[in-house]
Amino acid sequence: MPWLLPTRSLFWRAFLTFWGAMAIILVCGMLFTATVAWYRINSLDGLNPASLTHDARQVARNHGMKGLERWVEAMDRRYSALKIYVLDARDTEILGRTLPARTHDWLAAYRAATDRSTQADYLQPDPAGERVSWWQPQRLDLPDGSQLLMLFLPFDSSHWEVLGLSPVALALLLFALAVTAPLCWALTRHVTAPLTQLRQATHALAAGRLDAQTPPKLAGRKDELGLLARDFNAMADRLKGLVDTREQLLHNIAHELRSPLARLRLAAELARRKDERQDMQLDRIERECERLDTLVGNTLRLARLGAQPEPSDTLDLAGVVSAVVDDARYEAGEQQVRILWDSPAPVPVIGDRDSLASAIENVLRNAVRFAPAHSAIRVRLLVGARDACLEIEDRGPGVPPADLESLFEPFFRTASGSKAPGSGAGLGLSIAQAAIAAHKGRISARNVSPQGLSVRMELPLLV
Amino acid sequence: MPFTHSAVAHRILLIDDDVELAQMLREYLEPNHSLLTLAHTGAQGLALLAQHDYDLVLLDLMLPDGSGLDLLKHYRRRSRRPVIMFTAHGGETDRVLGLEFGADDYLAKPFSPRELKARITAVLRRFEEVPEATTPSLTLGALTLDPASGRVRLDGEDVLLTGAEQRILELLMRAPGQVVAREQIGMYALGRRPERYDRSIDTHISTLRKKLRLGTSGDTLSIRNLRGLGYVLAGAA
Repeated sequence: MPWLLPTRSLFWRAFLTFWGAMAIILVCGMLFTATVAWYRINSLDGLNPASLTHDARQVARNHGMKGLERWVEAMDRRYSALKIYVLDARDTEILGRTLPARTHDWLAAYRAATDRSTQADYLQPDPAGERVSWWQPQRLDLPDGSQLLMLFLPFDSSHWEVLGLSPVALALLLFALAVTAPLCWALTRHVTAPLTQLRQATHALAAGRLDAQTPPKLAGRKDELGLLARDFNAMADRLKGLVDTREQLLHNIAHELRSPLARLRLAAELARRKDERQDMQLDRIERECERLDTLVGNTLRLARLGAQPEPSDTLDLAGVVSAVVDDARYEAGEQQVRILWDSPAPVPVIGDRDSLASAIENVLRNAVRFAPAHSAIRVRLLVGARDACLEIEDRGPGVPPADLESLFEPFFRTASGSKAPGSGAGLGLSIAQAAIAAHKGRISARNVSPQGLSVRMELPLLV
Repeated sequence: MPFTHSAVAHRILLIDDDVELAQMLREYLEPNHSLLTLAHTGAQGLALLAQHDYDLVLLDLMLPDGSGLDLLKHYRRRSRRPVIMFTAHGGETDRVLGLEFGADDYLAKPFSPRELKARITAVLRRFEEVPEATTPSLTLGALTLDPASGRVRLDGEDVLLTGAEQRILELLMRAPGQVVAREQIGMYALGRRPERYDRSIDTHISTLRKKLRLGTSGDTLSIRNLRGLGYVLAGAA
């Protein structure tokens, strides 16, 4: 099997696409995260602890505890990179949040410092605007005289800055690519390996190996590729069936053509004698020509039926049967055979009028041929819930039970039936079967007592 | 016109499932001083062969129950009388098997009636031509052939050959080491010139090789095919 260029091969394309997409998503994700972090940290520009402390004190003084809680919540929403914690006298956070470890440390340092020096020195920065540190807890006074302690935790997202370092980012990227490569490889293989198997099966089929099938493991898959593989198998089966049937048919035709041709040659030779039987020989020649004509016509009809598209016309089955019975009554009358048929109400089916009519006609003609004189052939159309069932029953000799199955095979003759004059080309029932099968119906035959053959054709009703 | 100079009519058994054809063949052949009996199944044919002797059997190998070859095999166990078989056109396997099972000649259906008549004449004449009693028997190594009685012995054991096979062997044994042309073999053994692509002589030769166990290890005798020329019986001690 030829190898494809990597740039043309589905495997490499899919693999590189998956992998590339993953890398792009990763890089985008990292860039996005870095941008967000950058933006959040930048938003702290222009904020300073002194003015925040000033605002907080004002809110505390004017709106009390409730106002302060709202202010802290609002600041939290507005500056995601800044956390503000307010503690009451019992060191409980007013919003019930837990202090991070770092903040705890600052608090401890603050307490230690306040123990050493006077609180006043430490806590009262110069209100004239001396720079206040982010790390220094600030005291707030409530109107009721109680005191609160405010702590800042700025640059909360500062650990994101690690992404700004190119060696770390590069290592992260390489690691991600290394992890995703086998995953992408496996996924791509999962999709493209079945294609290779399917291609091998297609090759085999194209090379004329009609029994080619996809590997069972592939056909057993539950995904779209499994469906495709099963469709392929079904297609190969149908092809094989068609070709086998054609081959068998061709073989049989060749055989069947020989008999009339052999008789034709012999009759022509006998006619050369120009004796008193010359007319008889010429009649024989004519008869053999007619047989050949029928054989060729029927063969073509049968071959066409097998390869016809699905019929799609809506038609009345009862009407078709009536028309066929009317035609056959003439022939039956000559043999003093009656056909019993009561036309029921219209029975709608989907089908092709000509091929259905020829199916019914062939079965009926067969019945007429084997019906003894003065007997009756009964034609009945029974309508069930889903199917219509047409039964044609004669009082002829019937068929040996072992032959009932093969009755519909092309050129089949019962063991006792020799090539006697008057017998048909042996294709009538095959034509009927092919036509009924093209209508998704079934045809079967059984012997009836005391004697006779009943052929049953079932066709799906139009619902 | 009779097929041969025989004083009595030839009794011919025709086994063919095509009833109409069989009747026409009878009509065609009986003016030639012959009597045709018709059988339409293998079983019928076997029964008739068991009860009567026939000078010639015309056998359709394509009997519906596939019994043609069995019948031939069965018949060959006890009779050397000629058999002409009808085969399918292109039915190579049937033809080769038929010749191996001992048919003398074959015709592909649909055959020309005149050709059939010619083959019947040839086969019957070959069979009835009795070599002069004075014809000395031929010996080549462990192999002896008595043209007068048609008896072939290999290492003192009788080998049963059909008429055609025996005649081919006779021809080859008369000129050991020399090339015998296909035409010559055809004319002498089958009574006709072999057609192009006619495999019957080759099949008869290969049956001969088998029956005489030629070409097996340790044997010096062999029949060689010289393409385009003919056959040689070579390596005689």
